[in-house]
Amino acid sequence: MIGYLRTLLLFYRRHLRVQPLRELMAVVGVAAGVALLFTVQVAHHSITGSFEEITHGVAGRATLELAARGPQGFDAGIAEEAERVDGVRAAAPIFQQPIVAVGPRGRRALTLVGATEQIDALHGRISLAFQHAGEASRRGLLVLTEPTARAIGARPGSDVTIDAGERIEHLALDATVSSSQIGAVAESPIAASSLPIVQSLAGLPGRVTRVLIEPQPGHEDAVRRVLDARFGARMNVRPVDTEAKLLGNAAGAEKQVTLLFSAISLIAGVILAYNALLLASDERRRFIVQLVEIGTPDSMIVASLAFDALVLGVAGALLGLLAGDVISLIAYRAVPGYIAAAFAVGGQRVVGVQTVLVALAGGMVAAFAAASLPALVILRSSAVAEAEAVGRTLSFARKLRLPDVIIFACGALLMCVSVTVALLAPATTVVALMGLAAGLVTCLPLIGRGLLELARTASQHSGDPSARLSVAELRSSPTRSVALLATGTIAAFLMVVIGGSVADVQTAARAGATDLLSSANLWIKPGGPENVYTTQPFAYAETQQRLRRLGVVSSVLVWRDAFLDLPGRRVWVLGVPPQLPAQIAPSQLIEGSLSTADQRLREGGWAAVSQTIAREDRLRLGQRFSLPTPSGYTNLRLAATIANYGWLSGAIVMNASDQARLWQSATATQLSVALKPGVPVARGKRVVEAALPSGSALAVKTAAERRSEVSAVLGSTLSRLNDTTIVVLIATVASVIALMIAAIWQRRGRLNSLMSIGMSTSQFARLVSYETGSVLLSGCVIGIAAGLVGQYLIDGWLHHTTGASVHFAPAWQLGLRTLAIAAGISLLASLIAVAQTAGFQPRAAFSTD
Amino acid sequence: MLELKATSKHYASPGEVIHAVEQVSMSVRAREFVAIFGPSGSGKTTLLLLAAGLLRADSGSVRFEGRDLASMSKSEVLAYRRSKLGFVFQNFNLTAGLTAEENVAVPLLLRGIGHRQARDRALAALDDVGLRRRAAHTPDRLSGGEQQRVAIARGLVGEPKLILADEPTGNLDSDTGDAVLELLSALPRQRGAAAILVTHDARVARYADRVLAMRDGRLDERDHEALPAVGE
Repeated sequence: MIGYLRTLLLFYRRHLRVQPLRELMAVVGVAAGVALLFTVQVAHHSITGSFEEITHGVAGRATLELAARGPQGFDAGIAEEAERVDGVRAAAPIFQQPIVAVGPRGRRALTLVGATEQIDALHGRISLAFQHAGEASRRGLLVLTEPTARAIGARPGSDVTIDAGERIEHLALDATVSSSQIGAVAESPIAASSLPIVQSLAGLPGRVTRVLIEPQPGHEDAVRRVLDARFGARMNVRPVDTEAKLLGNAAGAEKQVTLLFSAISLIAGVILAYNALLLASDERRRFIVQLVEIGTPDSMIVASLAFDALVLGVAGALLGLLAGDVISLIAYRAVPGYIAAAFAVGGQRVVGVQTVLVALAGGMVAAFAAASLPALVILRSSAVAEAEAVGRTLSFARKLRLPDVIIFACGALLMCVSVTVALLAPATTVVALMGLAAGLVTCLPLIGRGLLELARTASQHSGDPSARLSVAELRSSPTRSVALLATGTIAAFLMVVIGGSVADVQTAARAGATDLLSSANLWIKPGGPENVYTTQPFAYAETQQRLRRLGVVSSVLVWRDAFLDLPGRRVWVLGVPPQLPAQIAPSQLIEGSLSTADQRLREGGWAAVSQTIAREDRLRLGQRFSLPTPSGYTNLRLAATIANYGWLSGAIVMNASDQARLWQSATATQLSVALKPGVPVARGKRVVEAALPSGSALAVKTAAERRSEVSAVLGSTLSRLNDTTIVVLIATVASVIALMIAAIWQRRGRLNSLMSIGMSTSQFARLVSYETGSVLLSGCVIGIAAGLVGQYLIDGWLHHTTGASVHFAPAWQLGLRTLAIAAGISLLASLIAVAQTAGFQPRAAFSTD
Repeated sequence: MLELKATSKHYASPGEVIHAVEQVSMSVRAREFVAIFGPSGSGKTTLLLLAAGLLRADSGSVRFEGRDLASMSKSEVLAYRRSKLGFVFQNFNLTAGLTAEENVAVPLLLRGIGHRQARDRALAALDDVGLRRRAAHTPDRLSGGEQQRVAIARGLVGEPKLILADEPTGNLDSDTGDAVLELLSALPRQRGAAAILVTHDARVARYADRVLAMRDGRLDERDHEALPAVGE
C-alpha cells in the first residue's frame, strides 16, 4: 500500500516538474471558488452567530422573556409579578435603548442595556462582565466595550456624549470590558448602564422593554402558559432566542441569494480549474500512453488521475480557506446597514467548524468535478492512441466518445428545462441557475467550433496576416480555444447575473424610499443613518407648534414608524399622517386600487400589508386580520398588498392616528415639513433648524439628503455581492493571462519559426490579441446573453421570496463594461506575450547543433 | 553574395567558453548549393544562424550582397530575413490550423502582399514541389515528406536569394529524404537562388555542389570523395 502511494506521489511530482503552471492554475481555480464559499458563509454565520452570542451572554440561564411590542416598553412592576409566578427561579428586568455614543474620535451607534443586580442571578457571561466592571468603579454610570471606547476615543473617567433620540446627555465612562473578558462579542455594538439611568435617558422612568425569565428545571412550558395567559395580550411571551430567529429571517433573503452566488462562484472555480487541466491534457495523455506501454495496470492509471484530483482538492481548499479568511477580514466585515438598523449586530467574525467543513467539501467536489472530464478525455484518447501501438487498451474508456452535437443537444436541453422550471416555480431558481450554467458550459464545444468556422471565413477577407494566423492557431488547438471561451462565458455570466440583480434590488429599495420621501421638502428625525427606518420616538408637540408658526412652513405632519415582531418575522410598521393624500407609495403597490386603498387607510381601521405576509397568512383584500400591538391584539382590514419598502422581512402601512392608538403613544418618530410655494429648500432648512428647541438632538434633512441616506443604507442590501464579482473578475483575469502564457509557451517552437521567417513583433502582438480577444469577447457575449436570462430569473425569485418590487432592467451597461474589460484583458495578454517574446529565440526553431 | 570573414561566435556557459564558430571565412555564390557537414556540436547551426542574422558575430563579419549584417538595424534584419532568405526546418514547423496553400502563403502575407496574389504564388510554389493537388490539406493530413515539401515551397515562395535548410531530412526516411533533397538541389537554382544546407549526414551532403566540413567551430573545404562513406 505504501509502495502504491509512493508511486502515485512519484507520478504527481513528475507532473509538478513538467507543468507547474497548469497545477498552479488549477489550484487557483478551486481556491477562488472555495474562498468565495467560505467568505459568504462566514459573513452570514457571523451576523446570526454574534447576535446569538450576545443573547445568551446577556440572558444567561434565562430561557423565556417578556418583550415589549413598542419602544415605550411596559411597567417595571411586571418583572416582580413575573418573578412571583410558580416555577420561576429568577427574573431580571432590562431596558434596551438605541443610542449613539460620541467621543473625541468619532461616533458609534449602540444598544444601551440598562439592568439591575437581579441580572446577576441569571449568570450571563456578558452581563456579569459588565456588572463587575461597573461595580469596580462604584459609580454605575456607563460601561463600554474596549473596541467601542477605542473607536470613539473615550477613556474611563472621561465624559461620553449620549445621543438618545430627542435628547443629548453626557455620561461618565465608568469602565471598559475587554475581549479577554467577553471574547469576540466585545466587537458588538452594546453598552451597559444601570436601569434607572437608561430609563431616564429614554424619558421613560419606571418602564422596561424586556424581562428575562429563568424557569425552574422542568417548568418552562407551565411558566410560559401562565405568563402568556397573564401578559400575552399586551406583550410578547417567547423563548429568549426568538430575536435571533427574527434576525435570521431578516437576513435570510440576502443569505439565500449570496449562497446562490457563492455556489455559482464555486462552479466558476470548477471551470477555471477544468480549463487549466484540459489545457494540459495532451501532455498528460502522452504520459498515460507511456504508462500503458510499460504495462502499468489500468487501476493504477485511474488511481493516479484520482490522486491528482485529491491533491488538487486539498491544495485548492486550503489555499481557498486562507484566501477566504483574508477576504472576510477585509471585504465582508461590515454588517449590512439595513440589518444593523434593526438588530444589535456586531462586526466580529464567527468561524464555525461547519463553515470550514462545508468549504473543504466544496473544494473537494470542485476538484473532482474539474478533474473528471479532462481525465475522461485523457483516458479516451489514450485508449484510441494506444490500441494500435500495443494491442492493449483501457477498454472501458473507448465507450465514452460522444459526438459534439449530442453533447450540445444535452446542454441546450438542460438550459431550456432549467429556465422553464424557474419560470414556472420561482422557488427552484437556485437549482435552475446552476443547471443554466452547467448547460451553457456543455454547449460551448460545438458553439466554439461554429465560431471558429465563422472566424476563419472572416479572416480570409482580412488584409492582416495576423488575423488569419490567429484563427489557424485557434483551430489547431480547439481544447485551449474552448477553455478560453468557457472562461469568458462564465465570468461574464457571473458578472451580469450578480451585478444585474443586485442593481435591480437596490433600485427597488430606492424607489420605495424616493416615493416615500417626495411627499415633503424637509424631514426631521433623531439620530443619523442608524435610524434609517425612523423608529426612535420623540416628543414632538412643542417642535411641531414652533415650526407651524414659521412663515416659510406650510404644514408639519407627524409620522409614527415602528418595528413590530410577528411570529417568525420583524416587520416595519409605517404610520403615515392621515392628512397625506398618498398613504401608499405608488411604486410599492402590488395588489389593490391605489386610490381606494389610500382612502381606506386615511379613514382608519385598514392597513396595507407586504405581499409575502399576506400570502403566508392567505389574506384577501378587505379581509380582517389580527395584529399583536402594544395595546393588545387588534383587528384591521387589508386595504392592499404592497412590496416591502426596502425592509426585506416585510412592511405594514397604516395611518399614524391608528398607530398612535395601537401603540398607546403620543410620540412621533419623524416630522415631515412642507414649505410654502416659492421658498427655496436650503433657506427653509436653515429657518427650520434655527427654530428647533435648544439642545435638541433632532436633525433636519432635505428630501434629497434623506434619499441619499436611505439609498446608502438600503443600498447595502446585497451590495457585498459586488465584492464577489470583483473576486471573480480577478480570478478570470489571472486565469486568462495564465492560459495565454501557457498557450504561447506551448507553441513557442511554431512561433519561433514564424518569427524566424519574418513575423514582426507587432504582427505577433496582433496575433495574440486577436486570438485572445476574439475568443474572450465571444465568450463574454454568450455569457452576457445567458447572464441576462439569469438576471431575469433571479429578479423573479427575489420578488417571490422577499416581496420587493424588483423589476428586470437588463444590465446592458454592465455587459458593455464586461466587454471592455475583456478587450482590456486581450490587450494585456498581448502585451505580456510581447514581453515574453523577449525571451523567445527564433533560432530555437533550428535544430540543436 | 554571402560572405563570412574571420567570423567567430562564442557561448559562455558556467565554467567554460564554447567556441561555436572560430575564425570562419567562407562565401556562397548565386545559384550555388553548399552543404555544411559536421557532427552534432560542431557549430554548423550557429553558422546558419549567423547567416540568417539571428545571431551576431562576436568578431569578424557576415556580409550579404556587400552589406554587413552587424550594421543593420533590427527592422532591417527583419526585412533581410523576409525578402532575401527562405527557411527549411528539420521539424517542418508548419502551422497546424492552416492548409498547405495557406502555410506557403504565410511569408508573403507577413510581407503585406495581398491575399489573392499570395494565394496564386503559393499555388504555383506548391505546383513546383508537386503538391498542388494537396493544397487544401492541413498538415495533419500530409505525410512527413509532403510536409517538408510544403515547407520547401514556403521557403521558396518569397523568391529569396538564399535558402537556409537546417537538417531538412532529419525527420524523414531515406527515400523520402532523397526526394526532398532532389527538390532542394534543383528548385533554388532554377529560381536563381543559392542554398546552404546543414547536415550531419554524409549522404545528404553529397547532393551539394560544394561541401564544407565543420569540426569544433572550424571549417574545412573538402571534396565529395573525402566525405565518409554512407553508413560510416
